Amino acid sequence: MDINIIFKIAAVGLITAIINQVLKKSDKDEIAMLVTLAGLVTVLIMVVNMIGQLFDTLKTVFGMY
Amino acid sequence: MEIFKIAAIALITAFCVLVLREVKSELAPIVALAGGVVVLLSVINYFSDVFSVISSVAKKAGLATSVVTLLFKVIAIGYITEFSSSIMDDMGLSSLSDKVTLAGKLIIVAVSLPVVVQLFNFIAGLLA
Repeated sequence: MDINIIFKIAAVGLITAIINQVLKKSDKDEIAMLVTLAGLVTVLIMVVNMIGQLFDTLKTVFGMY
Repeated sequence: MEIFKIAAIALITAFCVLVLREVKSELAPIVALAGGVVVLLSVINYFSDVFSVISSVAKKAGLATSVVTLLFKVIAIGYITEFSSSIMDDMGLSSLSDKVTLAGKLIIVAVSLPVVVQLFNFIAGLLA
């Protein structure tokens, strides 16, 4: 579970950055912005799920609430 | 052992962050955050072992269970505050991380007030 999430996020970041460069060179800046946003949103959804899982485990471990 | 896995994960995360910073992507700090969460998730069950031992020892020592649960709650709040404020320091937002730290301190003080009052009453009882 653990290591491939990091690779997934890094891959999304890398791909969006490269697509950004390509689109900027072919002067389609607004599409480049959209691609960056799409990459950011998907990664944020993944990371938020991970943090939610972390905080749930913390809650059960510490017996809070 | 466990520590090798954690060191490997941390190293790989660091490399990914460097690569992403190279291509100037905004996801570099997010990869760092994800790496931190993964490392934490792999050691979280050590926490529960330690805490079950501590609570059993405290029970033997006759401590009130409310005090022990409060201690665990304060540790948890302190840890979460430190976790988020260090991430914000990573991203360069030191003002935000100071605010989170202040909020964490206030919450800890607020949560531990009843025990302090209990302590004072106990002392007053002794003196009177």
